Amino acid sequence: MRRFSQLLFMASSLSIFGACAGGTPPGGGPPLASQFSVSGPTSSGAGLAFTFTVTALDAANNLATNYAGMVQFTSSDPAAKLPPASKLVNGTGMFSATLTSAGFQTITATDAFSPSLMGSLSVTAVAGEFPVSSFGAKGDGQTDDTAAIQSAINAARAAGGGSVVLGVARYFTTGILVVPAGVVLCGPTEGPFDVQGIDPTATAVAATLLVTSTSGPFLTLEGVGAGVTDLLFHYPNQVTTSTSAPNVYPYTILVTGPGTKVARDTVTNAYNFLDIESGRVLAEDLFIGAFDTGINIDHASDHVTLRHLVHSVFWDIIGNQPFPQPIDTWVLSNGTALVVRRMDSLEVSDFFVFERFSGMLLTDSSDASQNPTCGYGTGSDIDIEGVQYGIVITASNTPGYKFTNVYLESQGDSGVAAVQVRAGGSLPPKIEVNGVSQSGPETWADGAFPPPPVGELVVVYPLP
Amino acid sequence: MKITFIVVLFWILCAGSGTEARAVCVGASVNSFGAKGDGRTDDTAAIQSAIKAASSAGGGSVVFGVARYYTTGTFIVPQGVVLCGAIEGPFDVVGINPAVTSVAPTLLITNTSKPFLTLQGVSSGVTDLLFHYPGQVPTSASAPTVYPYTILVTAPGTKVTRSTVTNAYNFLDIEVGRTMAQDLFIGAFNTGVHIDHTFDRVTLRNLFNQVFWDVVGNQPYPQPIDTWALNHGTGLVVDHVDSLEVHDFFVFSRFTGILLTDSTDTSQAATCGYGAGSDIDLDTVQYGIVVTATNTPGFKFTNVDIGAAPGLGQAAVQVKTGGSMLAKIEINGGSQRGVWALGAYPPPATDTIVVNILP
Repeated sequence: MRRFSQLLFMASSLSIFGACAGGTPPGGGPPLASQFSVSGPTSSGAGLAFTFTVTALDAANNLATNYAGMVQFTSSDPAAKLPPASKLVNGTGMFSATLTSAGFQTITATDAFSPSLMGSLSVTAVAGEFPVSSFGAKGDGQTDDTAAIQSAINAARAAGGGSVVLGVARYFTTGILVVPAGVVLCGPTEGPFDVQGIDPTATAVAATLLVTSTSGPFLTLEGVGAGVTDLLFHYPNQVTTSTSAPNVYPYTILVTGPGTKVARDTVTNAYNFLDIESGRVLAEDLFIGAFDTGINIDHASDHVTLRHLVHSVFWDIIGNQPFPQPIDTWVLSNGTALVVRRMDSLEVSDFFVFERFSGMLLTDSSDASQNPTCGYGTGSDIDIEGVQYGIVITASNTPGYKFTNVYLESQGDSGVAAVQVRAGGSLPPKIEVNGVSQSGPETWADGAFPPPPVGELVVVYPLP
Repeated sequence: MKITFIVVLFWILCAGSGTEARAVCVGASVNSFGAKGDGRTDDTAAIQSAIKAASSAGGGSVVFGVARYYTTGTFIVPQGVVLCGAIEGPFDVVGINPAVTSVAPTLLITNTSKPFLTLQGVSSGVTDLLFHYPGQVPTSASAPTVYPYTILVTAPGTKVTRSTVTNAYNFLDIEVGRTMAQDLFIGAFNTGVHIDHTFDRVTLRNLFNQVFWDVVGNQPYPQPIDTWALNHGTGLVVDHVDSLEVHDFFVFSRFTGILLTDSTDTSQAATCGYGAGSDIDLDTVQYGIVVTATNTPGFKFTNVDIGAAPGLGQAAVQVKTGGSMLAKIEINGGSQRGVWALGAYPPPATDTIVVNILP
């Protein structure tokens, strides 16, 4: 991260100070310093120390190794904590500063005897922002950043809440993270991220968390106002697409508290992605590449909102591999995009699935201590393509599930049913699909809408 | 429309959350690369420096403040770089002329040679910006000045969100699949969004094609330029796309709402497309939806409302012959208003139109 920032601000400083006068001393000899390049982070958390680098450059922007002067520091922030006047070593030096006034600030390095020899760093100090780089996270794809990220989360929590900001970099982790109330783990650029042709293990095009822990859910959102936004999750140790079955990992994200949100994120090769175990939760704008279960919902005694979810084969697009790969065959026999168990009012809209065993499974919880153990809700704009089963329902609470604008397409010759109601649940299953269109009637082995053995299946406006 | 807003408000109130989501735009300000944003100085080189620096850093946000960045050139946005505004968009600018007043992070465009922005790298994007053409004709002119597209998309995994354009000629040209465009206010005289060469899905959500040029200065509708748009403009043109997803699509005052047709590039295996859509509101048009060709299984649209331009309505949905493949469209839950010279749903000469009409 620091290296990236240095490069970035090296370019910045050059563009600003490149026209400054200076030159080689008469008669040759080592070039004279004519400017300072000051590089460091572009934003910092107000009150948090960060490091920056001062480099003496000659007029041709070469390192002036012979610079022996004294560098003084000033800032537009009158309350800034700045380093004392210092010498550079071989033309360069690393320093620490803390900005305490929120806003657009500068830190200026000036030669003690030659005021024209100077350079500045622009830093936006943000209240309530906790960059993981300020807590030691490297983002180099190799160093274990788990402890550094958890430190940033804990600092945000201690401050009463805030944003823990990751950079466009690869944060390798071996452990798991807990996100408490009021803390949002977020990236610096808008997600979600489709990474066609890019391997997130090797290249960062987004704020990327490399997940390797197999001991528990990677992130647990446990409090009101906790969230995860604009991040890319990738499992570097997952099997390759030429393998016949994936490695099993726990869920990427477990939600245990209400008032939480998961937004604008991508996961490329998870086993299970999102487990919502509470009501009053929002999940939107997600690209989900999970082999087994995209989203599981249970223990939700209040509404859960799902909007704009895309379940596709994000693992194939890494390296532009043709579909289907061997791993796709496993997914076509095992994967489910959405599993809904105990749920008091699901709201799902703009839900897309490509290539899974089933699109949705509406069923009972295995936790029989709940009453009831199944759910109900509404949905619209549901597009499920390339599946053996579109929607399977085994149980529902009153008044059942009501979906509008549903399109269901079978996977070649292996389609079984577009919508199937099954017996054996705790309560009679009831589902209405209003404005439904399906493709592949000759390949749904049980028929597109087989008559339910129990409960009720209402199909309104079936289009040809 | 009002019901929609109430529902959205209700949702916002109900989606319990103690912490406000922060703006997703943390990175280097173009101002720190020398951009002035004064509406006069050419900021092209400074913005290019900022993009180059973000790209050298491996990607990141290039941040525009609430100011008017005047430009004469064009920009390539590489892998992992997102151009973003410092505040939430899109921006409706009723009564404000973006050429002289900044109410949003504004890019003033004057280049006529190439698309203004080309999204050329995976995960590149544009968010929360306002685009304006200060050299465009006034609304009293009878025809607009032609400019290239504001944004050209040539890489997958790209996004254009929460942005506004006020007086473009053509706005967004999507030439690759796995692209997302959402929450856009589009004031483009000729073509709002064009899609071609997409071998994978394209998602369009909450697009609002309107007469944003009239609201600049609160001019009464219609102005002479509106007559041109009513005789030429199209909200969405779809050529080759393998699975379009379009939701919450609004058009006001255009010749055609949606044109589903063949690409002029016949080197493609299929030159036409297919997909699904919902919540489509095409208001004050000569043609609502025109289909000339589709790939299997055609286009399926639900909850469609189409209103004729007074005295100019031709057809709400028309299937035309002459395409490369049979045109097939389903309208499920369609309603229409006004007078259509050819009939609301004229029978297709060949091919298929299925309409379940609401009372």
